[in-house]
Amino acid sequence: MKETADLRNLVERARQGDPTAYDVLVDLYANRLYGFLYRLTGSRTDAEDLLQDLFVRVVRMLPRYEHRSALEGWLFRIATNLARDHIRRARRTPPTLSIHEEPETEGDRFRTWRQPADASAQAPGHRMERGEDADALQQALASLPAPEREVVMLRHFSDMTFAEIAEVMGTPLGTALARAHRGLTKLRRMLAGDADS
Amino acid sequence: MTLDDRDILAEIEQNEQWLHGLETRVPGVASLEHLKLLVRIAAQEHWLKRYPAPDVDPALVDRIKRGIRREVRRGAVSTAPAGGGGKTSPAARIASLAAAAAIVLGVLIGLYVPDAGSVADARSPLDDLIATVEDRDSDYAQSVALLRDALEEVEAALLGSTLDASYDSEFDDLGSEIDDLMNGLDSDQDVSEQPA
Repeated sequence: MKETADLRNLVERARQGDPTAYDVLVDLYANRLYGFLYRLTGSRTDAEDLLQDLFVRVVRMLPRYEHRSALEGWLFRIATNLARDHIRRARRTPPTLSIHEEPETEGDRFRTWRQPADASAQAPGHRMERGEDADALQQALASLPAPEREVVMLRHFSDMTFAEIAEVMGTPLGTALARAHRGLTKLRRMLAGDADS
Repeated sequence: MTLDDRDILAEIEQNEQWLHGLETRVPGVASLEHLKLLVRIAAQEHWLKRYPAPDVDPALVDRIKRGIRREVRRGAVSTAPAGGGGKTSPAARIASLAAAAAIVLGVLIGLYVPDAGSVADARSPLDDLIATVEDRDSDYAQSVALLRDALEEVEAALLGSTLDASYDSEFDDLGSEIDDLMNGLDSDQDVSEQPA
């Protein structure tokens, strides 16, 4: 979504602490951000946790948002960082550690938002690398380099132009385009049978 | 050349400029390469729609909305962490901010107060301040706000001068760098979340 007057007004109301404005922002962006986080992490449970953490950051940081860049770009930038950090931690976490033993996170103060994790979420191997609840695309995504995966998914879930995606990624436009093209080509090759059916 | 000639020449020049403005713009080499990539991407990306991601659970959306309402009521919208994408505990963030503040103070003291001693001298009051802040309120956002206010007072007292205009940005930059280091030295560093 481009920065319309309505959106600016909405953000301004949220900055003033109007909870109904936040409701609208959640309705506008939660689904796409969730899909993006799910595709980057490969786990519904992780995507849910990260989505909550994302809105924690939005509530805290929105008062400093000044409309000089698109709100959507900012939201997806936070989502990208959260997913990156989550994947780093997952790499370092011993496999026996359960989800309840994860280090304290920024969203811990919001723990009451969360419902008890179900049995499937607690089972080991819920992360993308193990592909438990992943479809074919998810497993193919897991084998892409992170920058290619991020650009392809940013393009897929956001309404951003490549120029905006390049800004979010902190790369030149040509780099973002090349990564998207390489990533899509690899994905199609990996899913050739699936895609041609 | 008569006055009329000069008028005619000026008019011709104006017309030439106008015609020049009508010329078709030729894209540069980089733009052409970008265009080629865009076309190739456009031909491929529609195929991703065969793999829809699951929708967000409406119950989760409700929980998020309720959580936001609680957070807004608690007035936690006052301060946001600077930059950095990693999820770091409040204590770790305070420690990193304190470390950044100590570095800034050390540099400033070294620059402006030749006999004031080393950075270590500035750590003791800082540690006290941090401990006080941590005890007073566990809320991260409020703690950081208090810490920063306290540090500004300490700095003003030490230097006997007003705060340098660049302090905030130096402070934020150092905090972000320390956050990045704490998040590990991975190659895929986070991009800044600082609102524009």
